[in-house]
Amino acid sequence: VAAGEEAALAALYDRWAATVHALARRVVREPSEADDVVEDTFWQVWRQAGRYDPARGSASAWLLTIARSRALDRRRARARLREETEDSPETLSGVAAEGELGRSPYEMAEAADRRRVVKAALADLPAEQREALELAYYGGLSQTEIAERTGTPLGTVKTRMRLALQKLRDRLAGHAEALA
Amino acid sequence: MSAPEGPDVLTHEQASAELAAVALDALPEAERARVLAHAAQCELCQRELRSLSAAAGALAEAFDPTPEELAAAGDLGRVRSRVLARVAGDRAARGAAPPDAASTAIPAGPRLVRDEEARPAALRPLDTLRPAAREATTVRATPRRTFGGTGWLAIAAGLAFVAAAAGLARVTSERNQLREQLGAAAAARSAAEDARRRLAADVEDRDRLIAQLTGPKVRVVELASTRTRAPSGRMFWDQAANAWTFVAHDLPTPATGRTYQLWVIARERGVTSYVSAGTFAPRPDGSAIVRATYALAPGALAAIGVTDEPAGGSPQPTTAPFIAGNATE
Repeated sequence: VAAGEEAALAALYDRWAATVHALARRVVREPSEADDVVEDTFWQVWRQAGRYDPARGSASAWLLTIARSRALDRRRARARLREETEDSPETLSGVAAEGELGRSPYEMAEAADRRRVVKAALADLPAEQREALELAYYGGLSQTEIAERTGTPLGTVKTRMRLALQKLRDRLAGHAEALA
Repeated sequence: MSAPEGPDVLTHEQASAELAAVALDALPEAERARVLAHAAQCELCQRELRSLSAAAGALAEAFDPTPEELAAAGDLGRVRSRVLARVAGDRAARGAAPPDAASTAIPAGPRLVRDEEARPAALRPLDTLRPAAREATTVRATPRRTFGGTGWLAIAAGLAFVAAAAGLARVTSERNQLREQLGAAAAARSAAEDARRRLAADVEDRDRLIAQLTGPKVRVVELASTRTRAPSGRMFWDQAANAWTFVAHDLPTPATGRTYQLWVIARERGVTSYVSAGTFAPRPDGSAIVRATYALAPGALAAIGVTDEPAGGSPQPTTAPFIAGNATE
């Protein structure tokens, strides 16, 4: 059983490490630090596999959410430690199965569909609103940093971000209702 | 939790204006804490934050690294060894003590209180509104077996393989057009920056598609009609990339409340399974492209078929395929 769980983690790693690294790199910039984020991410996956809920999103989205969090920690690091709760990695092979290894085309199609829907909703936003969202989410920038980067007043960035996320939420909700 | 007081307390208007920034982790910690302190006692803000956080979380589904970024991933083999060594050590430690006793913190760098676990208890379940999840549950089912297996294969049997040139030429020309548009848009600079980005993504996407149709390890399964009007389809299975691309032509428009569903029929150890590769509707001109990713053992593919299903699709085919192709060699 132990060997199986470790193999599942290795399989997840082989499928997603480069993608995790790409996201981490955007947030932390430094390649070696991105390596550390990759390590942190898969270590956390190992410790917290029990928290993964396939109904809430694909395994890759879960991995990327963790990676983003770890990368932001490093980017905005302050001397502050926090206790982590423990989870036992009982369902890691389940996660790996979701990670497109032995996943049915049915589930694959769902993941592809989710991805397509989110991308379409994102593409529908006005360019400057989408930019604010992308810099915040995929770039890990704060509103102040976005304002500096884009040469836009902070108040404008706040408004754009709010409108963008509200629109995205409404689009996604509309889509979910259309299917329900 | 006692109510916060003093000059730092935000009004509802102030706090609700910052909820999106909280959901996107784009606020300094002190500000974030003030917003959360308000939300902890404002049901309206809690609900809004929950749904905005779910929307922000959905962005993880759409992360799109460039090929350069993927290629630039450093020495991931070395990191892999590090991770697996830690995991093996953890396994050993857990084996020696009951799980409850194994309480080590994740030894990562210092971190902010920004995670789900660190939010006020009232805000914890951020999952209730996640649209992607609801979408998933509408079609989630375990596609395995059933539905008169031999019928499918009988319908599919004996249909010819045909050259794939027409579909490919079409995709290639679409891609060339996109590339031309990309060049023109780049010249228009600032105003067209938005269009350029979308087109670049499209070109990249088409390039990937072409690679998946023409790669050295691509198998092609031809589907022919079992009806009088002659829709046709072709499945390209890029076995190297586990990429499936289905191209069809002359499909009639599905009836109201109905959809088409693409199936990969696999046969392993004598067991036939029907796995959905997704639902789709043809374009007005009757053509359609469906793409999916799925790892299948090289010898396991038996056939490809398309059925007419209730809107939203079915966990298993409920009608006979109207186009099907046999994939046995």
